[in-house]
This record gives sequence, structure tokens and C-alpha cells, in this order.
Amino acid sequence: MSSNILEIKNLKKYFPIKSGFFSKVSAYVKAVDGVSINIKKGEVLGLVGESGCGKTTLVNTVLNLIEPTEGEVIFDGKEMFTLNKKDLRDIRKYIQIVFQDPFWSLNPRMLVKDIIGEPLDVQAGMNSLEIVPKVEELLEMVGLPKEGVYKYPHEFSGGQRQRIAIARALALMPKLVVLDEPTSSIDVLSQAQILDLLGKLKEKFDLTYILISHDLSVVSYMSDKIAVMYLGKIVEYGDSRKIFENPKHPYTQALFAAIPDINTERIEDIATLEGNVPSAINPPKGCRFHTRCPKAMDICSKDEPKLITLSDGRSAACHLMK
Amino acid sequence: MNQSQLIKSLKPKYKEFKVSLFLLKKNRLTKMALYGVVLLVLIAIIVPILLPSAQHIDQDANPQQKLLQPSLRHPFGTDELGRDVFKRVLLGTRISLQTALIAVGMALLIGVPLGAVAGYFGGFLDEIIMRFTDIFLGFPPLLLAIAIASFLGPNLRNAMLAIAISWWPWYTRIVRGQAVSLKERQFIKASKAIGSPPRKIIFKHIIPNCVAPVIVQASMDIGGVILTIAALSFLGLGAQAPAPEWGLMVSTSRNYFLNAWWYSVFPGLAIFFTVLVFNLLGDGLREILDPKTRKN
Amino acid sequence: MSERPYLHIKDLKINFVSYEGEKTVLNIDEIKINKGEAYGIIGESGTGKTVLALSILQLLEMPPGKIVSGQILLEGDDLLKKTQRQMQKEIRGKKISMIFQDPMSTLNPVFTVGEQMIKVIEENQKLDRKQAYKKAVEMINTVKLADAERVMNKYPHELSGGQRQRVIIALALSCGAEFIIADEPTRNLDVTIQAGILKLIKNLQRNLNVTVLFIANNPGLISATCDNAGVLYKGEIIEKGTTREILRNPQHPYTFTLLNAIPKNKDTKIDLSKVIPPNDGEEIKEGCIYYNRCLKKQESCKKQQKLLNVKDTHYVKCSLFREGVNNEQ
Repeated sequence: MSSNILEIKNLKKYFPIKSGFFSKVSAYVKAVDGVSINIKKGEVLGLVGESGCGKTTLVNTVLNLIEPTEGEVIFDGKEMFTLNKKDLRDIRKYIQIVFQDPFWSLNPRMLVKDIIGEPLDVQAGMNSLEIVPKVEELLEMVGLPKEGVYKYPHEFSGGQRQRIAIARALALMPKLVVLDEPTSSIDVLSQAQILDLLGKLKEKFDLTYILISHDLSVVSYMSDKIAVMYLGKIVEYGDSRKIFENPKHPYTQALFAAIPDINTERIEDIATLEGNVPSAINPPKGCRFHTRCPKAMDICSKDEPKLITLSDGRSAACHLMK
Repeated sequence: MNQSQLIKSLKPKYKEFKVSLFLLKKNRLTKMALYGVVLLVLIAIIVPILLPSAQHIDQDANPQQKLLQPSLRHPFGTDELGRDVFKRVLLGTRISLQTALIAVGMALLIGVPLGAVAGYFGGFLDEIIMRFTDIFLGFPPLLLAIAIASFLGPNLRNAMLAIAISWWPWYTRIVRGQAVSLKERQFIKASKAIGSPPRKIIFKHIIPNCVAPVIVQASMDIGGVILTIAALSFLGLGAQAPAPEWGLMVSTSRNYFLNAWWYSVFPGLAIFFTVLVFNLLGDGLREILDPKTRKN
Repeated sequence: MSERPYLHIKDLKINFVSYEGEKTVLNIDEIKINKGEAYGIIGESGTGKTVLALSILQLLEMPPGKIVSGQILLEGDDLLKKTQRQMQKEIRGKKISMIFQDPMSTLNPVFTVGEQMIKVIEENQKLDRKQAYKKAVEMINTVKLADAERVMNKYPHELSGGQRQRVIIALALSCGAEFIIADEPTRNLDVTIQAGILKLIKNLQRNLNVTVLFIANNPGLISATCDNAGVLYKGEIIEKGTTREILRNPQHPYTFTLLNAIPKNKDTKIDLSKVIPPNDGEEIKEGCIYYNRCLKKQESCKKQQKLLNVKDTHYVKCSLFREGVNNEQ
């Protein structure tokens, strides 16, 4: 028995592109192309990368919202895609998600009691007499007054809505929670409170998080491990502190250097990465990053670098690492 | 759910209602339309209680007093059998409203779930349902209703059925369009991640969020349906004599139009007024239910 | 006072009318922006940043918006006195251009980028089609979009978010705009793309002497691009001065809290005792706008607050500053 709560093994997800009247499959979008990650119980994994790098697809596969093309996802010792419908439904309650925009993630026509109560109704089969006290308890747990039970989402601020979404995710006592840009549409002060709340809840209920965020300061604040993705592949993976202090892969370096913070005094202090992310339909040969890499060599356009483990325990996929 | 819970969960709904009321008050035309609708509903409920039944009016009819001009005693004049047109127009309100409501209700009952299912599941099921609605939408609604009504046999109940059958595809279309965009929303995804079965997602998330456009369409359609019922009755495919149905009255009055204009004009005006009022209401509701207007 | 500033906002007060009554959404004492300067507005969502931008261009919807008082002087000319027609003819797109968060809504989806640019240039600069085409290509090159001629033939949806934002900037420049209002122009963009757009805007300001009003909720963006900045809270500028001063030596408790609430890294935990919950505390009608969230509030805060001089280049709207309370932070 390993202490890994989630093991992703060589996961691939290709979306077919249909063209023409007879819907012939002409090509594939390789959204996730051979990703392997292990997440230990109680760990926070930060998933970083530009849009279109496959983060969302990866997470949707883990959440079982889409079927992978190839590969395995082992949750708590069980291979998810071999389970029958009933077992799958059972396992679902252990994996929950908190979405980015708390405005769209809560049904505007439902009362808070029905929103947070939905998982209790669907999974635990509770009736409304049992649900209300439970919802009140959950609201207090995320720091909202229990009077909120009989309110509509629009009566709350962005930060409060995100708390409601967190309460819903935690209603079934999950083991793994996916946080998909949990603070990117709320203001900075609320963000600080939400991050604090997430940290406390994690300790209290022994949760494991997968955190997706484009805000690297949030990722650095929360994560134990980081996986940097580029065009469906992981380019660097390892301990969060080590990667933030000393990114090894040129893409990670470029990503970190592009972000201004309040200590950035001149525009010259931030670096740009030339060009756009190439299409995932026809990714570049060799290293997928070589078209934009400032350190590209001849070999980069020919051979694809493997993800190798470095001396300090992290891994990176780059020819420079040899 | 116990009583106190019920009361508490009704409170926020009441608050929403108050916002609607406020918006309604600001919009004068809609307010007038609402008063019109309330007036019609009151007439439809009260008049049949106060007035003697239609048969009674028939028996009361005095052939000596046929086709009298409007007067104080007969504000809308009398018809060819000496019946009071005013009373018959008032009595006709219930028939028109009731039939229209039931017909639209049936169309909603068929159309809304089908649209939600088509939009939510997509793919093959969607294709089948939508191509099926396309077949229905290929005919002008009145023509289709005429065909169905004459096939089923001419009476009011069949006219109602005919209208429901020719009307549901419009709702299917609206709801499907909504459902397609709704299903990408995060709260639907969240519900899926919880493991909610499709049935629950459709009835708890998709349909309640389609309510606004459907209500708008339905209230405008009531006008259209009343018109269609009148048209069917006019053609002899709906209500049958001696029912005091507006369309039927207009139809019979044709023979006497040259010497008794009031006989056709007043039932005609009743149809016109009802249709207008419902259309205006629908238009106003569109604005009131628009989340953008509600925010401010 | 030496020179007349390029843009001068004086005592601007804007209310929103709703069914609950009137609410002040913007109440600005003074903002001065010099020609060729990049000025930043730091503010969270809902503080009136966008209202400010829209009111400069007179694009604010009225009602619900209502201008109670104030002036917006562009080179001495009061923009609020101009009619919509004058704004359209003389100001919008000619002198001032705005870059929105969502570039898709600014571009017309049914025309190619080239057609849209050529049309705008033809109309504004009275050039014939050939010259306009040349000019458009030139502008696309200015905003560093590779392969200008190909970009011209594309429809907006065929471009990426970053490319679209560049096209909008090119459009703004092609009409000869000398003042650009950028309202969170990089909000939905990836960080690498964001860096490019920031550099582009900065270069335009430096090389073409374009004046920029840069609005953002991330102080980091302002820090990298702007010389001077103001902090907006609930419609009021509560602190202003050089960007350096504000960010290094914040004097207002709100600015201080805001900067401290930004997560840094795993080993520096955010001190939540410095980030108190919103609207926790009593509401006051007059006095400091930050009162109900402030950790340092005192009786004197209930009085009307004025902008106080910290230095020649730094002002703060907090009476506690005089009493030296804020130095303990």
C-alpha cells in the first residue's frame, strides 16, 4: 500500500477533429500527451502552464468528466476507468472541484441550502430535514453565517460565493479537491482569506489539493509540489520551493521571469517569451518548446527530451539537463 | 420539509418578486398590460358565476329583439337570435383564456423537457429530436392546426390539442438553445462532478434556468393561441354553436355584417384587446426578467 | 504649479441611481496626468475603475449613472461639457482610445482585421485606400505582430487573445490617438503574453510620447509600467504619488493591507490579522471611506478626510498619517 492518493500513469487524451460532411476524423488535438504524476496524501500539487497546455483536460480526466484515450488514473488504490457505474459514483464523492468563477459555478436560481445540499441529496440520500442543519454546519465551517442557508448566491460577494463553493465541495468529506483557479476572479483581500481557509481546511480534514492557477504567487504560497506543463506534457516537476528558487527548464524560467510584482521597477525587468504556443494538433518535432526556447540547440528539434530525475529530486525534460 | 423551513425558503423568493414588482411599476405600458390581463382573468372567473349560463342566455333569447343596435339595455346590441352580445362576449372570455392556457400548457409540457433533453445530451438524440421539430416547424402553425383539427374532428377540445401539437416545437427550440449554453456552465459541471444523474441536472439546473425566456415566449403565445382558436372556430373547426366563442361569433356575424356591424365588431375587439394585452405583457416581462435590468 | 497637466480630473463625483436610491460610485478629488506619462490606477473590482475610464470618454450609461459635479479637463478643455456628437467627432478614437479587458468585444467579428483598420484610417486621416493599407501594415508592425500582411487578412476570431489586444492597440494608434486608457488589458491573458503587451504599451509611451492611463488590480503591473499612480477604494483616490513611493512606503492602511495580502511564497504566511473581513464593523455616513474595514480606526476618522501631503510626490487621504499612527505598520 503506497501513500499515494492519486497516481496518473502515462495519461493521454486526444480529441478527434472531424471534418467534412461524413465526419471523417482528420486529425487529433493532443491535449494531454503522456503525463505521469503521483500525488501523496495531504500534499498540494500546483499545476502551472499557459492556456491550452492541457491542465484543464488533465483535471477533467481525473474528475472523470471525460474518458482518457490511454493511460491509467489510480485513485486510492483503485483504477478508475475499469470501475463499473456504481463504484464510479461512489468514488466520485471523494474527488471534488472548486471552480474559478464563483458567479458561474453556483446555480443562480437555487438557494444556498439547495446548492450545498445537492451533494448530500445526490450522494448521501439525505432528506431536506437532515440537509438544512448539515448545510448550516458547513457554512459555519467556511466562515459564513448560517442565516445564509435561505439566500440566493447573488446576495453574496465574490469571496463569499467562493466560500459557498468550497462548502459544497467539502460536503461529502472528499479526499482530493481540485482547485481550478480558485481566487482568480476575487479581489486580493478576499483571496488572502480564501487561501487561509483552504490551508486550515486541509489540515483539519487531511485533504489533498490539486491547485491550478495562472497566478504563480498563489501557487508558490500553497503548493508542496509543482508540475509545469507545456503543450500536453510535463516539462518540470518537483518540490515547489526548489523550483521557485531555481527553475531549471527554460520554459519554467521564462514563465517566472514574465511576471511583474511590486518589486519590479522597470519594464526591462520582466522577460517576454517570443511567439505563440504552437498548435496541439501538430506539435513541433523534438522538444515541443524548441520553437520558442531561447536556449534551443540542434538536438532540440530532432530528439524529444525525456523527463529525467535530477540530483535534487526534481525532474525536468530538457536536453540541457544531461 | 417542515413548515418553518418552507416559510424561510419562500422568503427570498418573495424578495425576488418584490424586485419584479418594482421594475413593473417603472414600466407603464407593462403595468397597463398587467392590469388588462388581471381584468380579463377576473372576467373569466366572475362573469360565469354572476351571469346565467350560456344556455340560459339562449333560452332568454327573444327572437323579437334580434339584431338590435347597441343601447343601454344591450351595450353591444343583440345577435340574430336576440341574445345579448355583451353578455356573450363576457362569457367568451373564459372559453378563450381557458383553452389558450391549456393549449400553451400542454405545448410547454411537451416542448420544454424535450428541448432540455436535446440540448443537454446532444449528439444523436439531439439530432433526432431537432429534426422532428423541424418537420413540425416546416408548416405554418395555423395550417398545421387546421389539418390536425379537421383530422381529429371539429370541437373545442380537439382544437386545443391541435394547437398544442403545432406549438410545442417552438419551446423545444428555445429551451434547447438555452440548454446548450447552460451545459457549459460551471455549476452544471460541478453537479456532474458530484455525481448527479442527468435527470436531476435537467430538472434542477437546466429547466429552472430556462424559465425566463420560456415565460416571455409563453405569455406572448397566449395571444397568438387565442387568435388561432378564434380562427379555428371561425372556420368551423373549433367551438361549435351555441358556445359563446369569439371566433365563432365573428363567423356567424358575417351574414349580418352589413346591417349589424356591432355583432362582428365587439367580439373582434375582444380578440384584439386580449391578444394585444398578452403581447404587451410578454414584451414587458422580457425586460423585467432580464438579469441585466435586475442588477441595477 | 508650473505646467498645465494633460488630463486633469477635478472634484469628480458620479452617482448610480437604483431602486434602493442613489449611491456614490466615484468621488475623486484630483488626478493630474502629464503629457507622455504613464499613470496607474490600482483598484480591486467594484471600486469604480471602469466607471472612471468610461466617464472620461463619456461612455457611461446614464441612467443609472449620473454626474453630480466635477470637471475632466483634457488640455484645459472640459470633456464633460462636450456633447456626445463632439466627443465622437473630436475625442473618441481621435485623441483618446480605450483598450478593454475583452478585445473580442471591440473588434467586429464579420470583418477582417485589415478591413477594419483600413476603414478607420480612411475615415480619420483622409487617405486613399492604398495609403491606408500601407499605414495599417505599418501600424501592425509597430505593435510587433509578425507577418503583418497575413494578419490583415484574418478575422478577429482567428487571432489569439494577445494578438487581438495588439490589433486593438494598432487601431488606436492608427487614428493618431495620443492618450490610451487601458482597462485591465491583460486580464484574461497568459503571463507570457501579458509581458509582451505590457512592454508594448510601455514602449509606445516612451517612444511615441503617448499618454497612458493604466488601470489594474494587480499592483505588480502598475509597478512595472507606471511612473505615478493612485489607489482607488470605493470610488475615492485614497493614496497617490509616485509608484515607487506608494508601493515601497504605503501610508494608507488600505494600501498597506492590500500589499500585504499578496501571497509571496510558502514560507511567508499572510498575516490575516492584517487582512480583516470586508464590512466588518459599523458603517459611517461621513468620514473615511475605509472606516468599517480599518484596523486602526479612531474617533477622528469619522470626520471628512482630506488628501494630506506626505512628500511632494506622495499624498494620502488619512488623517491618522498626521498623528504618526501609520508609521507603526
